[in-house]
Amino acid sequence: MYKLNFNFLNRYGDMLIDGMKTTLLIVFGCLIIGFLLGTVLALCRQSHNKLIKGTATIFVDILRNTPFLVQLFFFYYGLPVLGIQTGPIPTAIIALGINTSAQNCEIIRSGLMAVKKEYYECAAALGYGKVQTLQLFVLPIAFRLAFKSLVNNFINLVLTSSVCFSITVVETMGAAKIIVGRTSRPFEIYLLILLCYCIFTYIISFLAKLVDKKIHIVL
Amino acid sequence: MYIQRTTNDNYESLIHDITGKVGKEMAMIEVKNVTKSFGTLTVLKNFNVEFNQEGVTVLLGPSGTGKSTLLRCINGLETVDEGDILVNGRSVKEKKNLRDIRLDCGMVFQRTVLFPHLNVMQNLTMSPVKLLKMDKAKAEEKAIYYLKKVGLESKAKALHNELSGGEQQRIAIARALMMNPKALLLDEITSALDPEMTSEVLKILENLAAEGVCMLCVTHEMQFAKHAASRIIFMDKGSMEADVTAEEFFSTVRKENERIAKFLNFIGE
Repeated sequence: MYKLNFNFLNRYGDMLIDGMKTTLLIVFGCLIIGFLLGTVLALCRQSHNKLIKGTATIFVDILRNTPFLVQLFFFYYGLPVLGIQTGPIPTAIIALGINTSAQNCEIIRSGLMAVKKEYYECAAALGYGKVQTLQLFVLPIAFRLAFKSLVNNFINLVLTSSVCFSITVVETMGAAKIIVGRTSRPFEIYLLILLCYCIFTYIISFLAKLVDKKIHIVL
Repeated sequence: MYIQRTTNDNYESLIHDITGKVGKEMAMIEVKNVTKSFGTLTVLKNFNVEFNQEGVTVLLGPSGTGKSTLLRCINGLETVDEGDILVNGRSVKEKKNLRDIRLDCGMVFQRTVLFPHLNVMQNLTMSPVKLLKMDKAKAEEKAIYYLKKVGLESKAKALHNELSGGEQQRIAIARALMMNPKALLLDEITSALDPEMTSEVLKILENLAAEGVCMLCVTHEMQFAKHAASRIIFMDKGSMEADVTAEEFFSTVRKENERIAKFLNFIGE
């Protein structure tokens, strides 16, 4: 019978915690980029201007129809050829953030499309301009409608961030790989990492449920 | 000459804006030779009418005769194909005028639209705060005043889905009044309500009419038209068939005009 041994934590616990901190940094960086860029892309895709709409559609389609790992390698190994070079962590944040924005774009767009025409008319009749209507009514309603799907996408982002170890980022998975190499205890280490990801995503789901209760709307 | 919108925070004085005491000497809304079509269907044909800022004008007529379209054109929600509409001298054709026109003409729709992410108080106060730059505390004080007026002061914290259809319409009326409009445009606001809710809303409108609030209503509520209207415009196929006082409409005009008699008989009046 295999005997579990977690003694490696005494020596490598700090490395693992640093890896988790890096994961959090990447995830929250991507969250901000993904949300802001996703909103802009969603609005562009709803635009009546064919050039804006077309450009946003092509951008989103490319990102949604190519593997994230290839995108990550393109950003890290491909772009330096053109003189665009960033460190592993910024590259991970930018690549994953842009990838997330494409997914968020479609979610936010579905929220925007669910906002009834009557709300636009009512806001116009009250004297609001287009920007104010968007800012005060349309986007808040769309975000609330899309909230659950955005949270799902955020959880997906957390899980996908583990791929970033492949461009030498020492995040949770990267730290685990290093510790496995040094201790030869893959079962315990990967089991621990699985539990960490699981707990993290459960915490996100729990908090999201609390927020959803507060902001839930019925049209 | 324009009627200047005041930004005075004293809402008690602002309430007079809507009671026909300002600008009586000029037509507030001038509809000049307006034609409006949707595809091949012409809804308004070379339509002319003027509305002063006084009393209650009821627009009557069969469905599809352009009554709602006329209100939507006045508010700039629909563009006019030919002719022009001036509200306090401002043309609805000029985009830069639309904001002022919409502030002058508060509109309430057939299908109530309360913003679902805001409670009743927020629905009422957001527009005066954001658009008229009114102090939030003053706006809330004013909102309570109008909530009392529509008998819903206890619902200040409610969301739209916690209100009945009639209550939602009363809140929508209060929200329009919050902006101190010179006139209220009411587009069949009771047609989606059951008789009980309809009577709740009509009671509010009759009270407002008794206070002298200037209203332009599209309705099929004949009792309201009889009791509250000072002027009735009957429209048919995009043209004006009659423009008379309520008294004349229900006495002499219905006897003389076959089309109007037929309409009134059809709706059981």
